[in-house]
This record gives sequence, structure tokens and C-alpha cells, in this order.
Amino acid sequence: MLAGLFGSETAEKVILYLAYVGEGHIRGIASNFELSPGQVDRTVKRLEAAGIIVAKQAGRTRLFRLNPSLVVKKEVIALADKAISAMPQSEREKYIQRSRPRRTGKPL
Amino acid sequence: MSVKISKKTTRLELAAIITAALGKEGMSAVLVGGAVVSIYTDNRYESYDLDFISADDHGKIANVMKHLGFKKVGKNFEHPKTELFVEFPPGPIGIGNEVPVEPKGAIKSGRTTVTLLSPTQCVMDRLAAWYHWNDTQSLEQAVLVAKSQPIKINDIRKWSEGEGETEKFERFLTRLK
Repeated sequence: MLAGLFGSETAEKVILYLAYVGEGHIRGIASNFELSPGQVDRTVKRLEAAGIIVAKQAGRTRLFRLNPSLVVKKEVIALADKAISAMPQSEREKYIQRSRPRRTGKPL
Repeated sequence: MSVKISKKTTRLELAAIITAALGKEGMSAVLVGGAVVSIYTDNRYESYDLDFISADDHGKIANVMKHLGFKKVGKNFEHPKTELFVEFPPGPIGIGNEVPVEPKGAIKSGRTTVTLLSPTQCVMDRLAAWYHWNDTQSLEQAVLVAKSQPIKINDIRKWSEGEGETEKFERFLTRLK
């Protein structure tokens, strides 16, 4: 829907995902949207160079999130909220993640 | 003990059976977590896990559960007639940074009143997971409950301010429009 605005479908997915979910890593995003990690890697490098997203190291993983200093961060989040809530359920589910802790041994 | 637990037993009915059995032994428990979301959303979100918080002796609770036909598997209680399982996680009840919390919900099932989080508290509980863990699944559940039940939005706003999450609260509000 917003691929034209963001430049590509991969960029749309990466930006909406990071704006809505908060943070993510290349393999996780790639697997979530059935994209190749290389494709996501190229996109996050471009977005990082443009100052739209930033990365921090967590162990061996690079975690990406929207740049907290991005002037339009709040607006991008509002855009993501609106765009995702307007998506068909099957598409929306890709942005609905369980990230709260689950006790070890608790059935899924 | 012969009890009417079957695969058709609803979450609320099962909660009432357990509440009644504990009550007979002078004990009590409060239903929290995903099962409360299921009850308030008429199972639009399905949790198979009934979490009860109880200040009573967990050994005595385990005996009551055994008499109801449950078997302890790890920390869960499982019953051969239902796919729902039960856990008694350690208390007290907390919602975000607010601990302890007094449960304000009560639903009658048959002759038994089940004590649980109120719809407002349930929304806060789910929002807490979104606020502090970025758990967007919990945001969806909070929206579902808020759209299914009357809630005290000003209480949620005030609580959100206390959690330091006014921006996310505003995002939650836009989801309710």
C-alpha cells in the first residue's frame, strides 16, 4: 500500500514493522515476511544510512529500530498504526508479535 | 470426586468449578491473564491457559485440583477431559508497576462467583505487556477487550501516565476509534 511512498515493498515492510513492533533483526524480519535476508540487509543499510533507523548490538545480533531522533518518528508510528489497522487480517498478523516473557515449560 | 468437567466446559465454567472447590476448603483464587481476555471477548482471543493467583497454600491447592481430576504436569494442572490447563503462578497480582492490585471483576457462573480482573484492569494488564515488552499481541487483546466491554478509559489514562506511557496510550486510543 505504501511501497510507492517508501520506495519499495521491502522498505515499507521494514519501516512499518520497526515502527509498530519497536525493534527487529534482519533474519527475523526476513522470515516474518518471507523475504531473503540479503534483501532485508540491503534495505536496512539504506535506511540506516539515511538516518531513518538505527542499530544496536545485542550479542551477535544487530537490533534495528526507528531512529529516536527522527524528526517525524511520531508521525511514522502513527502512519504505521493506521496502515496496519487497515490491513487485511492475514497481513496484519505479520505485525502481531508475542514478545512478552513466557515462563519456561509453559505450553504454547 | 465426580465433577462435570468435559471438553465442552467453558473457561468460565472451569474457573467456577475450581473456585467452588477451593472455596469449600476455605481457599480462594483470582483468575488473571489470557483466560480473562477470552472470557471478556467471548473467545475472540482463545487462551487455553487458566492462570489463578492465590495467597493460599499451594500444596493444599494441589490436593483440591487432584480431587477435581487434574494431574500436575510440571507447573500446570492438566485434566483428561479438557484441553484447558490450569496454573497457579506466584502472586501477588500486579499490573505494570502497580503491585499489588485488588481484583475488581466478578462473574457468576451457576452458583459460584468467579473473581477476576475487571475489564478495565484486564485492558491495563494487556497494555502493560505492550508498554514494557513491545508485545503487539497484547495490544490486540487490549483493543478487543476495550471494544467488547465497558471500560473506564480515564482510569486507564491515569494508570498509563503512571507507567510513563502517555504516547502509547494515545496510540491505543486511536485504535478504539
